Amino acid sequence: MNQQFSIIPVQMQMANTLKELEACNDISEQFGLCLTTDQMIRLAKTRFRALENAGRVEFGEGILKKLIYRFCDSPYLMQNNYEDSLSELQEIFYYFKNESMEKLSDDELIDAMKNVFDGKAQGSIEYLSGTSLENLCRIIRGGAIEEEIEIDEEDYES
Amino acid sequence: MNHNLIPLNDELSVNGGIPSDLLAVQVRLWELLAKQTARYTMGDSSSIPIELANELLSSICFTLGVDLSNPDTLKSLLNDDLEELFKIGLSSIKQKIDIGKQLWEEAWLSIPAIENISLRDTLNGIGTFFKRYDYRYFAHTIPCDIDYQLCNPVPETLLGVEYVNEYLRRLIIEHDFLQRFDPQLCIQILECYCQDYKGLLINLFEPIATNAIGLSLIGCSVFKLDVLEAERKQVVEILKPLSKGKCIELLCRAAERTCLNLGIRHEKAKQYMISLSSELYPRIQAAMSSGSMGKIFISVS
Repeated sequence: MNQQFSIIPVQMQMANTLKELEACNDISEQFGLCLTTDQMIRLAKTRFRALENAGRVEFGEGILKKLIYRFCDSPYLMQNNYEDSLSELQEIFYYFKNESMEKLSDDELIDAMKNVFDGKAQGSIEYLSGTSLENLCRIIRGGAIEEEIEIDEEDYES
Repeated sequence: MNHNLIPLNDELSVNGGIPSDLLAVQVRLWELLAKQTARYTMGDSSSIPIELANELLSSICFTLGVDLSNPDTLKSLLNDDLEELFKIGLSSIKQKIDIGKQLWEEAWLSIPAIENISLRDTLNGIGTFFKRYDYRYFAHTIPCDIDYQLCNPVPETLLGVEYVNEYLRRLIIEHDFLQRFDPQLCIQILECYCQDYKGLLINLFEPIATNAIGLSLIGCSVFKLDVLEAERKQVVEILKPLSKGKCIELLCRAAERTCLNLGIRHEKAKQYMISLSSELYPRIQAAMSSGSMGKIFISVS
């Protein structure tokens, strides 16, 4: 199943992705974030791998451009972790997209991710990826994350 | 049927396509798929699951009328304006839906006065098909249950509304045939054929038509429907000494005579009967050697 779309002119899409990422640098540079050509190529490749892992097909502009535009003003994104962060955000995005059963638009999902990333997660991608879709949806509706309170057994006994 | 791009690639290669042409076709279909996806998601999502993409692609190919076995497919996909072809395809499907609705009404109006749960459930189900059928995005699908088995099934190569319309056309032929007989007589034959003919997934037309062909073969009136033991022996006497080809020929002629006697003039209905008669031969041959002709030509007495 995953191979069915593998013969689509990947090179064509790859070239488009590189052009888009180049254009994104103009915006992200204002926040001290810039991708080198090698980083762009790696990210473009990661895009196809992430899509394949998520079992999805993407048309036109990839999601990277939107992620960059939305996340580049985050105080938690630094030049030294920019490429890795984008790569992971991309994977998380496709994961949540599947989880949401196509009920969330790209923009809604990215807004919710940004909200958690800059808020509760304080820049921790691990925290973001561990956030449940229910909580993300709650954020979309304007609510706050519901804390999962873990009770330590010793505390409980004392 | 799945119109994913790899089989398309294979088929086109077989039909003499050159790699650059294949690439061009892929790009053109990919562009159309991208547009359809954007319409489907209303621009909300740049990506969709592969399964959904395959469904949308299958629908596009169905709408475009892409026939992978036709060598002209490549030419058409390369040279014609696909977006325009797609629009024409959609309006053609719309017309087929209208035809289907008329056929559905005709099938209800011609339903024989014989109780059968699956027949009525299927006709009700086809009614919901016209409500659920999303021909813009899933034209190749059949979103309803079709349980009632036809005597001569619709080929699985047909999809979407084309399958449903062909099913209804065949069902109407069967209904029209059954309408020409006394319903009580039909019920008696069906009771002998299968006690629970109302509840089980059996075809109502086949036992009645088989009896009619048998009676026609021995020169009796088809309207009496009941095939007596002596008449079954007559059938055996006629067919046993003959070769397979000759037997099938006689059975086909009997089917034609049945249509003539019943006043069935429509060519498709005649062909439907002839196709049943040619399929009867292996069953008759097996029954002749095992002496169980009573299971093919039903007797009420």
